[in-house]
Amino acid sequence: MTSTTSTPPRTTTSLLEFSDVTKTFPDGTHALDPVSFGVGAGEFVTVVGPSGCGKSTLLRIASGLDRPTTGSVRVLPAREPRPGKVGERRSEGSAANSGGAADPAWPVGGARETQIGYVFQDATLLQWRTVRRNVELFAELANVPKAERVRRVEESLTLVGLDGFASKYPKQLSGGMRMRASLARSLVMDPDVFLFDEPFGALDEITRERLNDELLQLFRRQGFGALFITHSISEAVFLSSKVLVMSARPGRIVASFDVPFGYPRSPELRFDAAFAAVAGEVSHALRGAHE
Amino acid sequence: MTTPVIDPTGGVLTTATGGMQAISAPSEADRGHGWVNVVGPVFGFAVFVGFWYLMHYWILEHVFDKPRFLVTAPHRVVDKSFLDGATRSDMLYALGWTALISLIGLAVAISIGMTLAVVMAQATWIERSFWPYLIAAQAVPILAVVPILGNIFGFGMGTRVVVCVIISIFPIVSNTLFGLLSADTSQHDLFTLRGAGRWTRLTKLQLPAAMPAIFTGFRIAAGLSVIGAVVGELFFRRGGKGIGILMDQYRSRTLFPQTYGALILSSLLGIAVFVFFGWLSKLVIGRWHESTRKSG
Repeated sequence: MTSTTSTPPRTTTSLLEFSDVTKTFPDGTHALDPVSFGVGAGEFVTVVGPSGCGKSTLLRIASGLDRPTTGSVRVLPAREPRPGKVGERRSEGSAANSGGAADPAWPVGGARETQIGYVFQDATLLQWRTVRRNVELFAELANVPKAERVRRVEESLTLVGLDGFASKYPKQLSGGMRMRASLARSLVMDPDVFLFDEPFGALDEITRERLNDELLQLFRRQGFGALFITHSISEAVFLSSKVLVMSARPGRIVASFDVPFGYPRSPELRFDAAFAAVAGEVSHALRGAHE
Repeated sequence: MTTPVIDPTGGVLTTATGGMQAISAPSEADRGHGWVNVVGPVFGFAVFVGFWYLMHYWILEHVFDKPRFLVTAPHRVVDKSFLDGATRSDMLYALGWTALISLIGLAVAISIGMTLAVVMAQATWIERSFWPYLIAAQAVPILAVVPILGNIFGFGMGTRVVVCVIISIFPIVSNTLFGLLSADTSQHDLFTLRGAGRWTRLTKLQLPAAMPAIFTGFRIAAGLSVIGAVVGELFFRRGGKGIGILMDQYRSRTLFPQTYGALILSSLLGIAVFVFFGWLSKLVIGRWHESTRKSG
């Protein structure tokens, strides 16, 4: 990781690859049927699906917070592909040890090549830390030296438009600003893959659309691969290069749409007839998925 | 163990602070205007003193058929205890001893109690193993235990400190433990994502998250520790002469005004430590925590 201002060229292969991933929880809940797809560099993949279809489980598995029951998730090095340095999250059956963080093939600390950013459903800021200290958290846990950390924090705060709010506490911020802070917290690590778990679901329409616009600018500028989860079809189509539709639980991918619009996208795209047509197709597939 | 387990029997006196709080949480200003905050307490005090005089002049004689002097009139208490130079300095000196003992007891209770809570937060089985003894420490009739403790440790200062610790440790352990376990699962996820160990989790997540609950525990424990010190003194005559010893002496010499004076002073000590910890809590966590509105 060098800096967030100059983005090094990235390879076009998949950064994140799901191969026949299934998940059954210890309580017997069958959350995922075999799911396979990949997220490449510069690709924005969104998953839509009915509530409780296992969308969030997908992200938890991608990030290492959960393990697949069968199948595997591979995270490939983004910038300096080196054979043998591939991080792979094996299924529980094949894993030598049970502790998720302790798997040597999957070092969750700063050691692995590919950085994964994760934005949760709510901002999950630490309420006793100022915005600046919250944004610093991941870098601090990764033992990034203080001076470098401070530099990156300032940069990230600027990127999400929170310059003037660095010294505020979470309770002093609006919902939209908290999400920005949460975004900045992951940006500090300059992630190659960014996971978003319905980040804007709790926000009002106007704030949501503005954050969508800004997220796309960030996406263009930083060049990360994104895996985004949402309930909103228009949000999905507006952001994505690819939309995946999941079925009701146990979740599996029932439809995949390549969104035919290039980037950058202007906010007016939302009112375009072609946009409405794609949204209509996705909506139709989603209706099918509910049955 | 990353899933917080909140024990509903924990005797916890504060609410958890969730990850997300409503932005429209009431600010301090919403709770009342300045003048109400002055008039209220003044009125309460007037009612209190008025009832005291009523006890002295009427209720004691007409309702309980007892002599008036058993409840000394407030002005006589002030006159004999606080305006009389020699008595006042006796009392303040004794109060100093009591304060010292209770503060030492509180410090010991805080160190042992917080350590215990941190250990208990590590695994549910450890937590379960310790609970019965903590509840016993709280439930035990302290007056009955004090003579036994005296026989073991002697009737000096050390035993008085032990009494303070026994009586004040429970709220510290239960509140600290509750606080440590109150961090959100999703906040724990943040630390799991970066492979943080127990120590990092404890110092950067659990302890900060626990601060509001810990301070509530301190405040309750401080008041109890003062009670422990006074109770201890009623039994033990060796070591520094505290306000409890003085109180007992006044009582046995039927010096009622001075007895009440000593009582008032020991209550004031309890109030002072309570207010002090309220103030400290506001100082430390007031900037980010909602519920530290003026309640201390």
